[in-house]
Parts: sequence; structure tokens; C-alpha cells
Amino acid sequence: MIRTLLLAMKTMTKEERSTPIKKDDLVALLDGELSKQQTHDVKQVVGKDRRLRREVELLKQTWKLLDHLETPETDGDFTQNTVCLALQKAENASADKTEQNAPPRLAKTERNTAPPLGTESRQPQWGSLGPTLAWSLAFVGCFVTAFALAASWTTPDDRVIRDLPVIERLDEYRSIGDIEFLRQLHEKHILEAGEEPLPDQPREDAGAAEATS
Amino acid sequence: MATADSQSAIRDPDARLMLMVRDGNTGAFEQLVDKYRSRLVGVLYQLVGNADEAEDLAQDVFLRVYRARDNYQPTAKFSTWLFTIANNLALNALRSRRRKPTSQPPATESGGMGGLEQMVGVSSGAMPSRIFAKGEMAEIIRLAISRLSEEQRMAVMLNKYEGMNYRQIAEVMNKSEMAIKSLLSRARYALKEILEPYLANGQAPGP
Repeated sequence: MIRTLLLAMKTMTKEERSTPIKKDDLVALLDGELSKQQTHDVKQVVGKDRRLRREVELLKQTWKLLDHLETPETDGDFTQNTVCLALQKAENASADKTEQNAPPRLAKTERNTAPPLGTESRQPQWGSLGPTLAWSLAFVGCFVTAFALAASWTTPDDRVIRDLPVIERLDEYRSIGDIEFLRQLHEKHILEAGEEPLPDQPREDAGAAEATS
Repeated sequence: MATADSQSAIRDPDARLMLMVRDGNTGAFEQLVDKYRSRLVGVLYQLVGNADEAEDLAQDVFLRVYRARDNYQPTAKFSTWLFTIANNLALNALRSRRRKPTSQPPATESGGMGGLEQMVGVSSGAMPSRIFAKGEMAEIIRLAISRLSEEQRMAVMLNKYEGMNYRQIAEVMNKSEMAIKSLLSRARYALKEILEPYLANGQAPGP
């Protein structure tokens, strides 16, 4: 045991023999990384050793010299370029992800049906025609619906045109006063020829009256 | 512990900005890029030794941050996460550079590994205790740092310029706190050995 210690002492440098604390602890002391007790112990040893005090002082000074280090200035556009690039890459990644999320069977089918190299398929590809067909059907559907709506839509002008003959003779009809009497006059052709039937009287009735007369 | 970390991370304003990025706020991402670009390029420059490469790497770091936004969880400070990505990317870049036979070591960009001696030999030979010009001193420091190993450089940059403690550096570099303590100790003693002659009399260190 004693022989081992003596051997160890022999292999130690002069500096190490005179340094009772580790270099790591000395640096850690400067970095404030020691516990309270360790700090106290190391400080006591350093306080008693002039050589250690100088070592600590030199470590401090060389560390302070690093304040003179200059770093390269970044380009003024660095931030903008980086943000734009990040957004662009994210967009590309999103597009790739969408492609990857497509059903694998479809991808396999596409590979299997792909024409051999150097040939060109003239058959329609339903995969690519699908959207076009859907849009065409939707367009035709919209057109038909719009046409039907337009045909069924009655504007106020249409009603006025239809009732124009009645409107033109409205004062005359009003002077007669009774709608039933008016109908009888109409049935007996007492009113002038070319008159139109009353709005609430269907044409069939008029035709039937003519047939019976 | 994880909960405590999460709590402290949520108090980190940058972690909160990153949560906004996760929610689709592009402006928050822009703020983060603007805040960290110079610091990140500075650290990466000391690692790879080339300003253009450092800027490209920094951009790559931010792109990775944005790409990972959907799965972001504020389990640590945002800066710790950012520099972890930066460290991994820089080490990968250095590894691939080493595989290329034509690539140059980082310190050769302005004078090579012997630049420190050359600079001091020329500039301070006649004036041992003169005061170095600001730019000249910056170059001496840069060359001194370039003499450290890649890991030592990263640890020094994070400790000195990012103010990270041993635990945070350990997290960034995926090492134990004890390993970081030892790494930083060796780095600081190496810097002392390199720079001591300047502090003493402005002369170049011995071979």
C-alpha cells in the first residue's frame, strides 16, 4: 500500500504534488459550479497558496480576453430568406404528404397500367378524366336547373301582359258591377267581339258555352 | 423533474414563442430567427471556421426547428434545444468535411494553424508589451480558440457566449455534467497556455 503511494507520488509532476485540488475544481469554482461546501474548501486552499492564486488569476484573465472575439455579421436578409425558405419547404412537404397519403392500391394500379417505355397510351385514363367529367356534369346540371327556374318564373310584367285586355276595359266592366251578370253577357255575346274571358274563368268554360249555344 | 423542467421551459419567453410557431404563427418564428441568427452563426463560425458555411448551417438549423414545430414540447429552454440541433449539424458537417480529402481545416481561413505565431512574431517582436489593436486581438483570440478540439470549442462557446451552465451544456452535447466539467477545464487551461504569453509580454508561446 505504502509502496503504491510512493510510486504514485514519483509519477506525479512537481505541479501536481504541490496542487492539493483538481484543476477541474478550480475552473468549476470560477464558473460557479461548485456547491457551497466545495466552494468554501477550494477557496481556503487557494487562499493559502500563492501559486494557485496566480493560476486562478491567469485563468480569469485569459477567459476575459475572449470578450474580444468577433463574430461574422449575418446578411440583413437572413431572417426573411430563412422564413420564406421554411414556409416553402413546409408547403412542399405538405404536398408530398398528400401524395403519399393517396391509396397505395391506386399508385400500384397506376404503375401496373403504365405503358411500356417508348409507347404512348391512347386509351383514356379515367383517373385523369374523372374530375373533368364531374365538372362537366355539374355544369350541365346547373344549366338545366337555371333554365327550369327561368321558365317557371313569372314576372309582374308577364301578369300585366296577360291581363292587358281586361285592364283596357276595366272601367266598362266595373260599370256593370255584378260579375255574374257580366258572365251572362259574355255567354250571350252581348259584349264586343274580341274580348277576353274574365281572369277567373277558364277558357274551357267559354268553349263549352259556345258549343252549347 | 420533467414537470419542473416543463414549468421552467414555459417561463422561457422563447419557448412560448416556439409554442406560437407550433400553433401556426409565422411571425413568432421570424422573431426567433431574428433573435438567434447572430448568436447561432457566431457559435457555428467558431466550429466550422468559415462564415458562409456557418450561415448555411444556421439556416439549416432554423429550417429543422420549423420542420419540427408540430411535435415541439417545451421540456427544456428553447436555446438548449436550438443549440443541440446546431451542435449535431456542425459535427456532421465537420465529419463529412474530414471525409473529403481536398477540404481545408477551419483555421486556415485566415492564416492557418501557424497564424498565431506568425501574427505575434511580426507584430509584437519589437514591442513585447504593446497593446493589440481591437481587430488584431480578435484574430488572436479566434486563432487560440481554433486550436481547441471541436468539443472544447463548442463547450467554450456555449459557456462563455451563451451563458449556459454545465447541465445545459451537457444536454446540448449529450454528455454527462462531469464530462463537461472536465472538457471545460481542459479547454480553459489550454487557452491559458496559449494566451499567457500575450498577457505577460506579448510574445508568442513556445513550441
